[in-house]
Amino acid sequence: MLRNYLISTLRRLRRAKGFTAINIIGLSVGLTGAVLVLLLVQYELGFDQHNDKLDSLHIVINRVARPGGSDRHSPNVPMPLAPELLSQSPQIVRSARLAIGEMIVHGDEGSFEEGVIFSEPDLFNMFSFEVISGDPAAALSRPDGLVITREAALKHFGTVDLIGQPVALTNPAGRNEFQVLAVVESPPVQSTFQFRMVLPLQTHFAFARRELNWNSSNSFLLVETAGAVGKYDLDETFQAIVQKNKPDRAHVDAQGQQPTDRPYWNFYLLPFEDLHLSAQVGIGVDPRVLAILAAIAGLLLTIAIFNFVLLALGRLKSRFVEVGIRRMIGASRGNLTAMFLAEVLVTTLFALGLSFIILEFSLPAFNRLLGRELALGAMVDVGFWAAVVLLISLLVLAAGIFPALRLASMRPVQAMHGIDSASRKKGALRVGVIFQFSLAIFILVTALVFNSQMKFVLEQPLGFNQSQIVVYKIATEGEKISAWSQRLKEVLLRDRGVRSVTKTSVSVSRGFDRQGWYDRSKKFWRAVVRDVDESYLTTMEISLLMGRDFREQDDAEVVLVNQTFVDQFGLENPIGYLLDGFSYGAGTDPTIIGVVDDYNFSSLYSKVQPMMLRKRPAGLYSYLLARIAPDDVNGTLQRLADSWKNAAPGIPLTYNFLDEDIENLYVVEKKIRAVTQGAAILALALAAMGLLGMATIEVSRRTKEIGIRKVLGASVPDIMSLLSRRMVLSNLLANIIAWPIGWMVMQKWLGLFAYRIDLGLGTFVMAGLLALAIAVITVSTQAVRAATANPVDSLRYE
Amino acid sequence: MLIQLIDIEKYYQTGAGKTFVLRNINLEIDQGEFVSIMGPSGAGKSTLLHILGVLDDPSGGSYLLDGHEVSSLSDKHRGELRREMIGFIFQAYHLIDELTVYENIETPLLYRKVKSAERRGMVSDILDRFQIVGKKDLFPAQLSGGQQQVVGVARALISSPRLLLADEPTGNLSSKEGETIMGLFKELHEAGTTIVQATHSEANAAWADRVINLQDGWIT
Repeated sequence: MLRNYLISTLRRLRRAKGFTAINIIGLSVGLTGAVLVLLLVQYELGFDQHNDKLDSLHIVINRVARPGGSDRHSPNVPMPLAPELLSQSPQIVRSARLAIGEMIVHGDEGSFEEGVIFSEPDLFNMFSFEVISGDPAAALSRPDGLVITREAALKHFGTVDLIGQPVALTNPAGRNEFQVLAVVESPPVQSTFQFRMVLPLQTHFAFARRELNWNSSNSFLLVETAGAVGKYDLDETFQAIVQKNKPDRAHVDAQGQQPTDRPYWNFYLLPFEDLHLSAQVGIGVDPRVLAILAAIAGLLLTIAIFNFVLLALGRLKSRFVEVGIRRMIGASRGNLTAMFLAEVLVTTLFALGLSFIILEFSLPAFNRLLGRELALGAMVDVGFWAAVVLLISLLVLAAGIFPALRLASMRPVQAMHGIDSASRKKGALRVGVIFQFSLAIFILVTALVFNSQMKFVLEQPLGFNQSQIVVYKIATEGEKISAWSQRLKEVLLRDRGVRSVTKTSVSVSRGFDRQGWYDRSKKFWRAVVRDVDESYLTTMEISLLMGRDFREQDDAEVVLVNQTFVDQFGLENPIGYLLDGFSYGAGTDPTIIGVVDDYNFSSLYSKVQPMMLRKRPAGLYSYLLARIAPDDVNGTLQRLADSWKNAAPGIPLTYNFLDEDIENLYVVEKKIRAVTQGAAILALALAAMGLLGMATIEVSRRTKEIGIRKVLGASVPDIMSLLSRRMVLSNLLANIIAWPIGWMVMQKWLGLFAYRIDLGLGTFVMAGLLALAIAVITVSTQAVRAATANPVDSLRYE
Repeated sequence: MLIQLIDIEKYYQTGAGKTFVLRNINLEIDQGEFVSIMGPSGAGKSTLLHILGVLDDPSGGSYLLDGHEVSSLSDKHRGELRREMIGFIFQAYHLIDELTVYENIETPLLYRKVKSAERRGMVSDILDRFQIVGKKDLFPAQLSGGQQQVVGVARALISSPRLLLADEPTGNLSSKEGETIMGLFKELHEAGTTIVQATHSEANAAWADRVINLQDGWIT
């Protein structure tokens, strides 16, 4: 029986090549998206699974209360929490604190800046990393031990045979000698922890300051528990610890200005397994991005399914006689349902095959886009196939069950005479077409809005001139940064391609230095504080609204503030205002000498915050911003790199363009934009293919009518308008469905931005018109054919 | 008695009221009989055959097939009846275009869940019997009308039905092809198959034991 179904299906698919192509291509596009999301989800779920003890590994998270807003879940906790927790909770077997930093490695191949992690011996007793030689746990128990990965070893020393090798490393605290005591394989790609070198925690330049400091939260705490421990099982222990070690100053929330009543610390254990997909902690991937991708794949698949169902229903009549015959010679309803579902299954399997071919060719591009290493071969396991089988089954049911039941429920005699008993069929078809259009318009609206908002964000005047600014970063010991940054400034200024240079503590988009203080009247102030020099405003082209700019001889006693600072703290006469309390009595409080125009120094998701620019003669100016001449940019950059090498051999210097930095704030959005644009094009193409099929059916159904009308004198435009009228009407109705939904969804998304476009009618009209144009063009191709045919042929055909 | 129709009526509800197709039909057909139903177009011949073949329900009256009241049967039982007991032949042949001659003939056996080896034997026998072995791999579109109807007859007979219903079996055929089909019916009748054919050809009707005339839905 199955063979019979299979044979007749294959022959039928071959005979109706056009429809088969529409169905297979449409479903394969939808399936490609779905399989891709499947691979992606599987990839993300596979994170950290290489750890043998994963079930008992946790990370301590601090849930920071924010008044009126959602809590922030931070993995940064105070360092003294670890010994306290180990001593108070018998359920904690081991722990390892972990801090992240940068070091300059002086290797055989030169000096390079390298991201390193600082941790404790038990890190390697808790997490599974493949050891090539040496003992990593033992390495971290010595003050000069160093664990290096194969990749870093090869880069800096050209060999992995390094046990006992002395290595010089420089951090802000100075230059130190370490000894390689273990070489390990680089962590797997699907490991949350990525490192190239691990150093003992006590060698972190700020360890001495932080070791016993409950006021500073800047290291991770990883623990291994004895058996399964629930998220809040250690609540009481944590509360006791918090009670004992409460911060000695009033906590102020991160965003607002008001101290909160809730305790600053609310620790809990997050299973390490859940860390990667935790949207709250935000270390791994945001599951909402996966959800958006899944939704896009789902929408494409839905359009393909609609195509399939609509074409199947449209062509149902051609199957009536066959259904009648089969029923007459003994087929049951079950037989017929099974037959039709088998047909859908065969089509779907062809589509699946095609989607695997598409995936094979497109995976590298997807991987580049998503920054992942998805692969069909390695990731295809039993779970994957089970998910694919489930997906295909659902697809077959969704696409096949409606036409199958319609066919199977026909009475044999009516079927054989081609009489369709269900008068609602045409209504269902029309509703289907309208829904199909709505999906396409909705996808178009989202793509257009995404595009406009991203364009707006990237082209939004930020309050300074971001073009032609190169960001230089010096990596060297703390006490030397000041000298080296001054040296670099001189080198840069000597070059003919450099217009101006300024030194700053933080580049425009990188990092925040927030500071809060109470003044004499106990009023709380909070602002972003940034160290700059006297060339900052001129280099960045930031406008000074009142007062004066810094002069070379100024020191930290005078500051500039932005307009938001003035507005927020209600300063009527800002110039000359003394910011008392700012120094906590440890120096002279600064006076405002000037007010600058607001400029955006972070992503446009957040509003401009109060900011203070400070000029400190001995500030840690790690960044130099240089505005260079627009001509021969590459030549200038090369010259500057060479000059620096001569001026400061062995001091690594990295640079990039400021506008790249700003664009990098929107990496995820840009990826989503690329995906939505692609999806919108695909959605339109799929919808157009479905329409083409529907138009073909419509024209062949009305061949006789068209012939008669032509004999009676109808012109070509008359016939075309007759055939297109319904499509146009369906399209108009589809807008009524798609616009409000699109408006709501996009309004919600735009709500995430502090600076955003207004959702105008234009976007919606454009989406509707675009969909309409495609519909009209598609239908017209068929309509022209029918309208220009010889009526005699049309009538004879019938 | 194989067939007994008592006061069978068939009408369609239309805007103007009921449009009758069959009225007050009382008919008995014995096992092994060969009956022709004669009448002009629109007389109700096909509708009567459809009711006899359990493809359609009468609007009123009673139909006993082999002593069982058909109207009380479920859709599933009707399917079984058609599979096990009844063979159909149509004017338009109604072969499945996507299947070859062999596969078309084999299909009813698939629905009867006949085992593969047995199926092959049965189809081979019938291909031999109708001398169409050479055409078994051809598709309906590659055959002449007469040849298609022979395949139609072969398909109707593959399950050895007790009742063969033929609706204008020679309507689309040349007179020579028509005669061949009638000859086949004669042989089947002699072998004991009950045959009811609808026709408006007097010559073909004459091949039967009994001719029933139908006019505007009434037996005359």
